[in-house]
Amino acid sequence: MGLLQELGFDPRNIVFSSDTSEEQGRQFGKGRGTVDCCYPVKCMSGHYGELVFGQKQKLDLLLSPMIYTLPSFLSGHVAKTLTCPRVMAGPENIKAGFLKESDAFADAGITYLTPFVSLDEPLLVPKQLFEGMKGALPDLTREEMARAVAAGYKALTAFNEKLRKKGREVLEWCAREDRPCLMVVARPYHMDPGIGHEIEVDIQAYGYPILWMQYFPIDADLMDWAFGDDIKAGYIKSPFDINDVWQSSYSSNTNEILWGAKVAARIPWIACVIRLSSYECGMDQPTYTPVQQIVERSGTLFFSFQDLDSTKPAGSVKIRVETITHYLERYAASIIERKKAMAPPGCPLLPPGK
Amino acid sequence: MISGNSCPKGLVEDVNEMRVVKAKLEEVKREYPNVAEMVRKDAFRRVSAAAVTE
Repeated sequence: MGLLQELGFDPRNIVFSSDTSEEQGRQFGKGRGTVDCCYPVKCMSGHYGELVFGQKQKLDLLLSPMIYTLPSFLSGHVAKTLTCPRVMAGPENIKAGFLKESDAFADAGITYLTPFVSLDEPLLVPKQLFEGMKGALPDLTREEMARAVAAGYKALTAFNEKLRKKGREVLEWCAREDRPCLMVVARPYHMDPGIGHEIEVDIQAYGYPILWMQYFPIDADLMDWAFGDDIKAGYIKSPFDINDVWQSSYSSNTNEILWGAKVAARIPWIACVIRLSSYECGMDQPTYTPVQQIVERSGTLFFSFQDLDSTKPAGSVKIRVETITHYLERYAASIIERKKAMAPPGCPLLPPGK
Repeated sequence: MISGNSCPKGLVEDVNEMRVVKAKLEEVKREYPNVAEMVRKDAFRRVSAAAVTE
C-alpha cells in the first residue's frame, strides 16, 4: 500500500484478493491449475481468478511480482534470503492457466504486471520495479519510483515494528505472571486462514497467547540475554547467526524457521512450539528434524501439523488441540521452571529486581 | 450417537446462546492475543472510504 499510494493510486482503487478458501479455488480457479505439488502456489489460481472474474468494478492492472529475495531480520547474518523457487516463479507459472484458450487478462481489459524484484536489496528495487512497470504506467519516472519504494519500505518497517512490540508485550506479560505462551513456527502464508486454517486460534481459545516467529521481538537487550553466552563461547557470531544449526542458509523463510526454533528453545515462557507446513513443501522437509530436535532438547513441547492443504481437518485438529492443551495444563509450569533454571540471569522481560 | 464432539458454536440452540458463546470467545482472544490476528486484520486489506477521508 505504501508504494502504490506514493505512486499516486487512490487507496480505494487498490483491491486485494480475499483470504484463501476452498470456495475461492472452486469458483475462480477451477480448470486453470498449473501446479499440484505446492498447495500455497496452487491457491494462486483462485486469487487471480477472483481478481479477473470476481470484481464488481473491473480492474485495469493486476500486479503480482516475482519476488526473488525477501527482506529479513537475518539478512547479513545468513548466506542468502531467497524465496522458494516455486513461489518466485509462481506468477509466471499460474499465468499460464489464464492463457489456455485465450488471454483471460486481455479479454477482461487487464494488464498483467509481474516485475522481478529482489526485496532484500533495496538499492536494486527501484530499478527493477521501474523496468517492470513502466509499460503500464507510461508517465512514471525513475525518481517517482525511488520515492515510492522508500515509502513502501517505511510502511513495511512500521508494520513489523508494531507487531514485534506486541510480541514483546506478550512475552513481558508471560514473564511477569509466569504464564506460558505458544510460538508458531511456520511460513508467512500460514497466517492466511485458508492455508494455516487458524489452527493456533483453537489453542488460543484455551487461554494461551500466541506468538509467531516472524514477529518475534528482536530488541538488543533480549537478543544479548538469549544468545550472549553462545556468542561468548564462539558457537555463533551474532544473535541472528544460525550457522550452528543450519549451514545452507539460503532460503529466507527456512532460515527464519530455524532461528525461530532456536529462540523458542531459549525463552522460558514459550512452553510449546507449533509447527505448520503445507502439502508437499520441499523447502520444509529437510527442516522437520532439526527444528523438532532444537525445540525438544530444551524441554519445550513440540507439535506439528504437516501436509496442510485446502481442507481444514477439523476433527483431527480438535483432537490434537485437546492433546496439546492437556500437555500444557499438566507440564507448562514445570517446563517454565526448568527453562528458567537453564537460562542466564537478568532476563530483560522480567521487571527490574525479579 | 456422537456427543461432545462439536465446536462451541455448534452446541448452541438459539441466537442468544450463540451471542454469549461468541462474547466469551472474543473476551479470551482479547486477553490472550495472537499476533497473527493483527496481521490478518491489517495486511493485504482494502482501505475503506472512511479511512481515506480521516
